[in-house]
Amino acid sequence: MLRGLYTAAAGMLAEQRRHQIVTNNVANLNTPGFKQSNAVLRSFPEMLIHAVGGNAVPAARPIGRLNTAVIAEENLHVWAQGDLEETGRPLDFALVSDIPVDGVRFGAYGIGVDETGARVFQPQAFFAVRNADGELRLTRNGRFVAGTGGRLTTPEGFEVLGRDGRPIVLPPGADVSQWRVTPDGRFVDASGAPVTGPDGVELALGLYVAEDPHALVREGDGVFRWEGDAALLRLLDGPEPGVEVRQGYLERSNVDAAQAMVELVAALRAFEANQKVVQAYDRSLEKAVNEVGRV
Amino acid sequence: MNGSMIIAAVGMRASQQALEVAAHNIANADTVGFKRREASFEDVLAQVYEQPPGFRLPGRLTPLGLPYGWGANVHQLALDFRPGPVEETGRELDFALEGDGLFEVSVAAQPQPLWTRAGAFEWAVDPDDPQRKVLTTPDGAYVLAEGGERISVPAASGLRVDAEGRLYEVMPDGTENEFGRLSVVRVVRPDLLVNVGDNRFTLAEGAAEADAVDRANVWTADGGVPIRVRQRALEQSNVRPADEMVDMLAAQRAFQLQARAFATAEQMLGLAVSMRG
Repeated sequence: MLRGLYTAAAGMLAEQRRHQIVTNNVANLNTPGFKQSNAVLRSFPEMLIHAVGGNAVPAARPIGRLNTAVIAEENLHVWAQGDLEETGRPLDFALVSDIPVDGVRFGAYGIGVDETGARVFQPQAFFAVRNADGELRLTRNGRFVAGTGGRLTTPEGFEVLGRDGRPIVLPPGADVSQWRVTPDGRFVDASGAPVTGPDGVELALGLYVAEDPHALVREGDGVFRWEGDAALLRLLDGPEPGVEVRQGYLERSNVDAAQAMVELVAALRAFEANQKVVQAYDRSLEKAVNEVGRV
Repeated sequence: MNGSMIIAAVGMRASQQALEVAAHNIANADTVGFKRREASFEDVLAQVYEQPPGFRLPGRLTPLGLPYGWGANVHQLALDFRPGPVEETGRELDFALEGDGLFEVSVAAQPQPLWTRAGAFEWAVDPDDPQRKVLTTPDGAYVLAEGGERISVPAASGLRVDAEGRLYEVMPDGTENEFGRLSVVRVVRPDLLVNVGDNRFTLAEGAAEADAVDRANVWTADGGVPIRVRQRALEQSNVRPADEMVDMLAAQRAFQLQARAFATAEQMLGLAVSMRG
């Protein structure tokens, strides 16, 4: 068959995937702690093309490389800080994460360039939660609720972990509205003394910093799964420059609605252009099949 | 295209639910003792388009696989328990609570504990003794005193309740008899309470009363603001119409954008379908 037919079909599929990812961003315009994701398209695989026939010596002369398809390769998250929205609720927390790295100045999207010109991604801070299987998950959505038994959980039921790696349990009968949370995530009461849980441990939110934010995979329900090197995910044990917990606030979704609209239309029109290419090939093939060699 | 259409539809449904929560709050902007509810979004469980090892190409930043989401869902949080403004009414049977307290009431047909913040009470004839009257809510639920008893006074007397909930029957000649104490509970975990209508709350399913409310530490200041009763005053709704309007606008605009995403997905589907003839 004509080579370009499959390329055009691959183009349609890639634009469809891109459209799907942008639509998910738009659906999460109001989800606290949501990070926008951008589909990255890549032209792939490559074929080495030879000219065959004619008077050429050798018989097949290489012309060059041709990409025969495009794929939606990966789904990159945009780590721009979301706006803070004041809710006044004592168990709503927002993380402001702007971690400095020596020698690098980061832009608003968490991307910077170091002295050698290499691209550097800014480390990002997260709250720590635990799923039903006991596995660590990370989240930026700090809307927590106090459930039965005084356990602090997300609305889906993921237990919030403390600095000691165990789920946070609020002391029974304690009036949470009188507590404050310090910028490094420790709970203190109205007089400034640290609050201790039922087992005597000082209550503090568990905060992790991911040195390579791209090793995080979104699982849904507001949480990310860490798939990178264990050494690149560290638990904070005290104040960290650039990481601040704000009580009574939520971090809003960082989805850019205008950009999303433009991408939806761009995906649609690229899809349409590829569809026209398929139709053009179809007409060519129709001629080849039906008219060439007709007697 | 189909994936986009489903995601857009799920997003529209979530935006619509958020709109309904805001509308319910606005409808109750004037309801005495009403506590507003909040909608909160969460993104839906994500899946992954698997990718074979050959896709690990130079310049790639994320692990293998193309994750994608399925939109957003709304989770409704229990209650925003911040106090509403207190208005002096001068009416003998209007009560407002200061601090995180709830009056306890009972309805014959419902065995579970019922609490309310709306203190606009009335007298009804005591079913056990027509010479006496009992304190009820406007729709007939009995207001309880400590011990679970109804509050009953002789038909001719008035009622005074002091700041710490003690009940006094006031005789026509002005003398007072203390005869009990108002049953008030302190709310410890508002996330464990649910609204059952008629401005009343009860325990969420599976929640233990000891986790949600405190009966012992009500009138004293241990662990927070002491609870006080104010007679001749009513607490208004804690809905702030301006905030609700902003939430409504945000939900409306999100709905609009999601509908636009749906429209482009539908166009793409049309292009694919009409590709041949």
